[in-house]
Parts: sequence; structure tokens; C-alpha cells
Amino acid sequence: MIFAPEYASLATSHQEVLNCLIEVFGEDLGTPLLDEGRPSGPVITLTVPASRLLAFVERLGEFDYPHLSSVSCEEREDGVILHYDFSLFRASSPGEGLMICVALSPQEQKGMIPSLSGLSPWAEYAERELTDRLAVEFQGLENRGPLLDRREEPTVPPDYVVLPLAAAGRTESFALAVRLVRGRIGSVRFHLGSLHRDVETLAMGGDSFQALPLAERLCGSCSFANALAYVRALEDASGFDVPRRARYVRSLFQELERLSSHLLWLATAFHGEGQEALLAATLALREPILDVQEKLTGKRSVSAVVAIGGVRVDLSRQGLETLQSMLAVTRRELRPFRDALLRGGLLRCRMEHRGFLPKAEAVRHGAVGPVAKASGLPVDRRSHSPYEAYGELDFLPLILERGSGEAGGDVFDRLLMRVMELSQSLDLIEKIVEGLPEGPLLAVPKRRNLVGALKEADGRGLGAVEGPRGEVIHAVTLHAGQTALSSWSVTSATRRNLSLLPRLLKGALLDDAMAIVNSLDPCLACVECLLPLKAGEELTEGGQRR
Amino acid sequence: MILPWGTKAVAAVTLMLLAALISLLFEGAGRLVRARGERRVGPPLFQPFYELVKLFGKQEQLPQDDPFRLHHGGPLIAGALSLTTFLYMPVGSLPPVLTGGGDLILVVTLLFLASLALVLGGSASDEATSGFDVEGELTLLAVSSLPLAVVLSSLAWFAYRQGLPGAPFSLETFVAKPVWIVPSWSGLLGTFILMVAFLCLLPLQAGSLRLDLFEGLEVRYSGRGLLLFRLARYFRSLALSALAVSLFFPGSLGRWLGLQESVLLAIDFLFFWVKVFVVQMVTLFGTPVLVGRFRTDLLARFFALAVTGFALAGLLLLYFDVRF
Repeated sequence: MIFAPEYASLATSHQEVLNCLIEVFGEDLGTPLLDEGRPSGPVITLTVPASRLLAFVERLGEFDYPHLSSVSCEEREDGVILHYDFSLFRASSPGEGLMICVALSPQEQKGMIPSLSGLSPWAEYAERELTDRLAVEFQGLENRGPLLDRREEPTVPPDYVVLPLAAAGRTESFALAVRLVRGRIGSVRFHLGSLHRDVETLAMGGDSFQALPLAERLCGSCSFANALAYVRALEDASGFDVPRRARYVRSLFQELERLSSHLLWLATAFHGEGQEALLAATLALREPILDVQEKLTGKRSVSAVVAIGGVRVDLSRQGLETLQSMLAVTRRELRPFRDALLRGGLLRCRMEHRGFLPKAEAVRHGAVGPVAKASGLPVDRRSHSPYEAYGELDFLPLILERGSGEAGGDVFDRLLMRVMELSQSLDLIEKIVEGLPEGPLLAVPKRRNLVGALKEADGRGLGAVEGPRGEVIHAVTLHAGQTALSSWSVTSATRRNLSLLPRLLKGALLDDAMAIVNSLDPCLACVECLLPLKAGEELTEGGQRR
Repeated sequence: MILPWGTKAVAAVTLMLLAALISLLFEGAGRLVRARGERRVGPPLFQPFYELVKLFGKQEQLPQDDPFRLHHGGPLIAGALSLTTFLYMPVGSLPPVLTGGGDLILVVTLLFLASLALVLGGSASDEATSGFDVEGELTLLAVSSLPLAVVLSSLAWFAYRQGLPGAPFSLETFVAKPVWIVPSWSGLLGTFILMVAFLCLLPLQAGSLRLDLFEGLEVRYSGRGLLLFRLARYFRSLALSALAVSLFFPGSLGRWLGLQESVLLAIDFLFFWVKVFVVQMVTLFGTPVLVGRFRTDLLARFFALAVTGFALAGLLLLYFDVRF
């Protein structure tokens, strides 16, 4: 199936979307519920029989490109419930995101569950993970091999070459092997598993408070995004109304993190191209941002700002002064930097026309973040489903178009997109500081009351934020009377963008491979730490579970 | 000046030892220049000497399948060939230890063979990726040979047609009377273009450009093998810079200052190494900072088309100078 790239809108409201779905699927959808007042934004919750899952997703494709945002599971006594969360960004009108949460009950899974990997390639990883973990069988899943391969020396066929990712400034243990056909890359294999930490299983032992530091440490450069998404999922499940000042503070730290992450990425990209002087210049540009974080929170990274129902730290006057001077310095330094990039030169010559990702392919693969935007796909949760203070900041998602109006999408465009996002983040920070309201920082200041509120929560909560690399989604399930998590699943941006890798590398020259891999800004820490083991399970030397 | 064989042997050994020491010193300085260009503090000046000692005692991983001992033999031959070239180069006002009518061709051939030996040494590796490196290095060696040949033959032809004293393919000819003082404006421009083309070739010939993602042939070596490989590269870099100085910057500071005999020889000797230092720092350490990592095919196209075209333009200007 090919989704229409321009997404003719068939509905005028979220209710009409639901009505259209009911019209086609009738009672198969169980008791569908549209909730427009949830903290995570408008959500339609429904069930779909496994036999009609593919038809359902194809129907969603008529409204908008249905981004498969996350696949998660919830273990119950009667079996496993599978959850598929789809994001529609323009189903009823542009700028009004709609989340469609589909549940497959254990009774519906008696037959085989159809694999969504044909419609959304990244679903392959999620399905293999579920096969690994819960022995769920997916019909049509081509690669059924274990997702987690913890062998230190992954077996690589003799005609494959392992790419040295460290040469491109990537420090992740990510065994990427390619097979060359007439000097160009023919096929790609990669192994995950070296960074596995099984964070989700760790979190199951404690209560939902204890999992917050774990969420913060899933990744270094999108620590805040993960913490915020986790907290928002809890708030979504328990219905907290976060104070306005806290929402502004959260947005501020999100943008600071974006600045820091993009500059770090730029530095690694320059290192990969052998431009060490630019690497040093970019890292120097990042220093004032880390200084601001230090001034505001006492920490340069993993700032522990976010709390359930608000934030832990306020913006001090001294911190705001440092922030203002950082804005002035970064703006001044960034302009010539961006102009020099646009003018061209060796770097442009090296990066242009490599790793081209057309808009239609970005849609098919469910690309997110700067990768999607560089291909002309305006996917940005900050504007489509505004959360925290973004709804009040009045901004549009950036997309990159060439002079002729044709969408870009090569390695250089992805670099430019991140540079453009730097400017946008500076603008947003300025707006946040200007409009910073007075008021409390926590919805429920006393911990005892907070625990009580969390114990009352019963159901599934979603927290979706636009991290530096794209959409980060956390899904949690809480049961009444408990503060412990019943389930927690994380879908990082890299997990979705990683499925682009074989597509982008195919046909590329070996010399371009590093630049292409780096242009996706893959964060293997985000992906691998989440691959779970069952309680009591261990990995054998061969990477199998026992 | 004809020296007795004994004196020649002593001079040859002394000169080669000195060149070896200077190459290490210049490498240390070059790393500092590159580091400063990249906004780093950089290593100490004598870091290559420390590495020499350290690598000598390090464990080495040798390839399993290397029947011709190319892994060590390649760098050894490359180092020896590179040092041999100094015997044919006039150092300042000192005559070369060995002379001959075609020593320019001999020096260039020795340096080419040194590059080839390094590539062959790197190819003797168990690494699956060594084939790509060797392929890339050989391609670049081949494409850089054409502009190099154009530059050298243009200079020799010009020297011959202008009636410079000595054999046209002798380095002493270019040192005795710099090509710059002979021509008219078109000849001067042509010589300048040839010089730029030659200096463009130096980083590639010396292997100082960061080419591909596999970081070149050096990663195939460890321990003493790496020591040999690095020494060969340092010697080759110094020899190439010295060749550039002999061809394009041969002037004598001592004569300009009106010095005589031993003082003249000493000052010109030092001046020669200062010029080599400047050429090496600018071309082999400065340029890579500016251009970053090159893709092999782009680089090959650049040398095969742009630099060759540039060198041919220089030849054309020299032709106009001679003809009109």
C-alpha cells in the first residue's frame, strides 16, 4: 500500500474520523472512545480484531500517513494485550494531531497476528522484540531472528565488511556490516545488543517514582525528553493538570536539550568529515548552553528537572541572566556558521546528493525528527499536538525545500535542518522567557498526596514529546491501588529511523556510508537498553534466552 | 665537486641520519601546527621520538598469510628508498652526494616506488577491508602520476629550451639557476602554476590526506610494524618537501648576504631545511586541516582533471614564453 503523500483530508473533526472508522469496521472496533481532554492530546481508544488489523491501518492511511508511533504490550493473567499507537497529524485539520490507540485482546490473538512490517518497516524490530520476549507469532514477518544479539563478535558472513563507526565519530557499539556489489553497497546487516540494560524490567520492581531516574538515564543527549515523556505518560494516566509555569520551564529545558544535542551531532558530523577545526568550534558553541543548564540546575546534563506533576527547579534570576547572554552569544556565532554552510564549499560537495530520502519513503518508513523534516515531511509533535507551553508559542514546524519547491532529503539537508532547528530553538527560548508566567511549579506539592493520586489511576497513559532526534513515546499502565508500573514501554526516535538505514545505504559508495549513518543521528543507547528479558531469564553466550 | 668514495660514504650516512632525525622533528612540529589549526593544544614537539621508543617495545599483530614478508618489507623498502633520494639532492650550497644526468627522474621514481612499497606492505593484512584501502591508494597514486609527469617534464623542457646550464633532468640544474629568474611574465605565470600543481600533489603523495572511513593503511600495523610504517611515511614526506624546495625554492641566503666558504655552506644548509620546514608545514600539515576528509572518487577526479588541466595550462604558458 502507498499512502497518499498529500493526505487529502476526509474528515473535518476527530469525531468524524471515528465515525468513518465505525462506518467501515462497525462492531469490530469494540467500544471506541474519543477523549479530547486528555493531557496527551485527543485520543481514540478502540480494539481491532487481529484479522482486520491490516485493513484498519490501510483505512487510517486514507486520512493521513498513519505513523505507527509505538508497539507495546501488557502482560495480564489471562494473556498479553498488544497495543498499537498511531499518530495522525492532519486527519481532521492541519495542526491538530490525533492519537489512535488500538488494543488487541488475548482472545483476539488466538490466530496469528498480522505483521505491520510491510506497511511500516520499523514495526519489524518491535515485532521481533515481542516474539523474543513473549513468543507472540506474527504472520508475514520475514526476519524472525532474535533481535537481541549479545555476542561480542557478531557473526558476519565473509562477503560482508564491518564498518568502523568510530571513524565517523559514533561511539556506539553498533556492528554494521555491508556487502559490496561492484563497489557499491548491496545489502546491510546490523546487530544490536551490546548496550542492553533491560531498563524496563528494572523498573517493574519499584514504584513509578523510582522509574523516573531510570527514564532520565536511557540516553545522555535526550535525557530530558525521555524523562518528560515518561512523566507525561504518568500524568496522562492519572489526569494531572500541570501548572502553567512548570509547562514553560519544561519547554525551556526541552529546547536547551535540543540545542545541546544538535550541536553535539554537528560536532560528530564534522569529525566524520575530517573537519576537526569545525568540530572544536561547534563544541565551543555548545559550552554556553551547558553552562546555562549548570547555572539553572547544578548539572550540565541529566538535569533531573522534571517531576511528576511539574518541575523540581525554578528559573533563578541569575540563571535567566546567563540564559540571555547565552542566547546573544549563540545567535551571534550561529549566523556566520549557517551562512558559511549555505554558501557551500567542500563540506557541501561531500554531503550533497548522498543518502537521499524522498518524501514518500520518509512517509512509508514513519521517519521522525530532523530526518523527516529534511525530506519535506512536517512531522513535529510540538506543533501538531502541542504539549507543555508549545501551544502558546505560535510556531510552525520547519521543513526543508529546495529553491524549486522540491523537497530535499540528502545528508546535507539533514545537516541544514539541524542548523535551522538551532535557530528555531533559540527563538522559542526567547519566547518562553518573555512569556514566563508566575505561579506554582508542582500540581501536587506533597508527596503523600501525589502517591494517593497515582494510586487512584487505573489505565494506560501515553506521553509523547518531540525530542532532539524526533518523537519519543512512553506508554505506561497503572492499576488502581498500586503505585508500581504494570507496564512501561519506550519508543525512541532512533528505533523508527533505524529502519531507514538499509534503504539509504543501498547503492551508496562505501566512502559515503559513515556520513549517511551519521546523518540519521542514531542513538543505540535509546534503542538497546529497552530490549527486555523476562524475569529470571538470562542470556546465553550465543545471545539466546534461557 | 668530485668527492672520494670514503668521504661520500660518510657524507651519505650522515645525511641520511640527519634527514631521519629532521623528519621526526618536523613531524612533531607538524602535529602541533595541525593541532593549532584544529583548535587543539596538540602533543609535545618530541612526541614522534617518544612514540619511536614506545612502539619499539609494543606487542605486534602480524598477518597470518604473508609469505613474502611484505608487511614489514614494504615500509622498510619505502623508508630506505625515501632516504636514498637525499643522496641526489643538493642541500643548500652543498653538492649532492651522488649525481647523474637524470637524477630528477631517479628521485621521482624512488619516491613513487616508496609509495608503492607502502601500499604493498599495507595490502599484506588479514583485515577484510584492506582490499578497499589498497584499491583507493593505488587509484590515487595512478591519477596523481599524470599531473606529476606533466609538471616535471614541463620544467625540464623549459630548462632545456631556456638553455639553463646542466642536464635538463638534473636537480643541480634547477638549484644552480632557479627557473624563476629566466622567463618573461607568461613564463613566470606558467612556472607559478606548475609550482601550485606540484604543491597540490604533495599531500596526496605523502599520504597526509585523511581519505576514507577506514583511516588509511596505517590501521593495519601495530608495534614495530607501525614504527616502520610511520618512519617510512615521515621520510617520504620530508623527501617530497625537499624535492619541492630543490625545484621551486632553491635560492641561496648565504650568497645574498655576501658570505663566503664554510659560513656560506652552513647558512645555506640551515636555510634549506627552513624552506623544507615551511613547505612541509603548509602543504602536508596545513592543507589537511582545511580540506578535511576527502572521498576517494572526488579526489581522483580532482587530480585527474583539475590538477592535470592546471599543469597543462602552466605548460602552455611556458610554451608561449619560449615561442614568443
